[in-house]
Amino acid sequence: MALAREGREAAYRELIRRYERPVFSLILRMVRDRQLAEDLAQETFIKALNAIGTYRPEFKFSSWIFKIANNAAIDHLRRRELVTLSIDGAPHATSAEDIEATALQVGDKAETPLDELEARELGSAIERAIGQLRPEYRSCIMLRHVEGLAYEEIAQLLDLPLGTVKTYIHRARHELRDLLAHLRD
Amino acid sequence: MIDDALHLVPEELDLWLEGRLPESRLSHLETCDLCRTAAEEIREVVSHLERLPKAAPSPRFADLVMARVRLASPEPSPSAVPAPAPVPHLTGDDLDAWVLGVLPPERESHLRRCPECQALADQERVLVMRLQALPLFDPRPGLADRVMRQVDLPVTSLATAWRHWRVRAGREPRTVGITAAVAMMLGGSIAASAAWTAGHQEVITGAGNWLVGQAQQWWWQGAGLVTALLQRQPWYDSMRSALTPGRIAALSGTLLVLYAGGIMLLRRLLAPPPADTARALS
Repeated sequence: MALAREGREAAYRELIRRYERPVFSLILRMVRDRQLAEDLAQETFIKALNAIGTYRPEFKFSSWIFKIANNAAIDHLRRRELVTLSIDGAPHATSAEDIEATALQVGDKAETPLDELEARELGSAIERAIGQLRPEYRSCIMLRHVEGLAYEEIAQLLDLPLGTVKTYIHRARHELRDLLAHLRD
Repeated sequence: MIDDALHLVPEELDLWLEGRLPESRLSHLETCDLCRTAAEEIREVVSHLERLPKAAPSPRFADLVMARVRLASPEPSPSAVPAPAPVPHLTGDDLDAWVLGVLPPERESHLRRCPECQALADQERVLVMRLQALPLFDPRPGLADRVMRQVDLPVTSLATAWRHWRVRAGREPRTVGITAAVAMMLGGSIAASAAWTAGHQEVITGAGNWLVGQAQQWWWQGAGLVTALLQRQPWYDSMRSALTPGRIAALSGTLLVLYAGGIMLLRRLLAPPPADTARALS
């Protein structure tokens, strides 16, 4: 980090090398679209490295980069909700075909974003179950159990009270247990 | 007779594997065939796992392990009187603590007696293991290059500026060509100027003297013009008679005091507030 703050390109590249897989995996599991996850991961690193002067060394770099990545993913999901969650079609839809293509089909919210890639790469039962969680639950459960962050770190990273983070994670695990119940039979 | 409620729980099997199982529980293990079999099986599984190449486990890994761990679960004895499950059941925090192996003893004892919580805890552990075993995905190759093309490296010293230039030049040979051409033009023109100056010192001295003379002439002409304009003003005479040396001194003193006061006030306004004031304001 010290070398990166001095502007050493090699240090920047080392940071990208270390965090590209966790950051990309977190975003991919949040947005469930590989191309989009590539773009958001790239945007995350550009934003983080261009603002490296504002990074406070008392925090872990991983927490900082995960915060930026999570914000990028959540912002995207919120924007997408605004565009897609209209039963009258997306605001930009003008022709009848566009309106039909973008209109919300009741009950199909869980399937629409899951493309061929997910069927292949995120296709396991647990990945599908994670995909059905609310984005807030999804990011909390990923940060806790995939990235191994402590509750306090997650609370700080997501700007949420500690109790809320615990509730999200417990509820997420409860939902996952229910969603994966068929595997126990 | 062996008390079924005292069969080793998975955490105790972990402790046994690490050689940290308390003596009291070791004596149970020595006398209980069921627990001994479970412990040996666990040891066999762990030893097998340790021999595996270090790669991301399959998503079914947790199920495979836990399927064998469950073999060690105590079979309910027909003669045993089912103990009433103390309330409350394990909370989310308790389950967290159990997965981390730090469940308080009183909750641990509830867990041992409550089949409902045991099932929940089992599912919780499997779920956590499955989550922890999730693979990481690789982005398309070249992410670092794509990012670095859009990152502005901070220039903190001449050394970093030189390093950045070197790195960029290494990546873009065209930059090297352009920079070298500009440097040659600048260097050539400076060298030519120096050579010409060395051979024509009398011309330089003459031109310098002429410029100094012209500047002096322009200065005195300008000062004379301003003075003549002032003297033609209607208020000039009254102002001149009013400005006695004593009044000039008093006016200068007043202006000096006002200036010093202004500077002190500005410093006070710009100074950061003391810590307690800052705390009170925040």
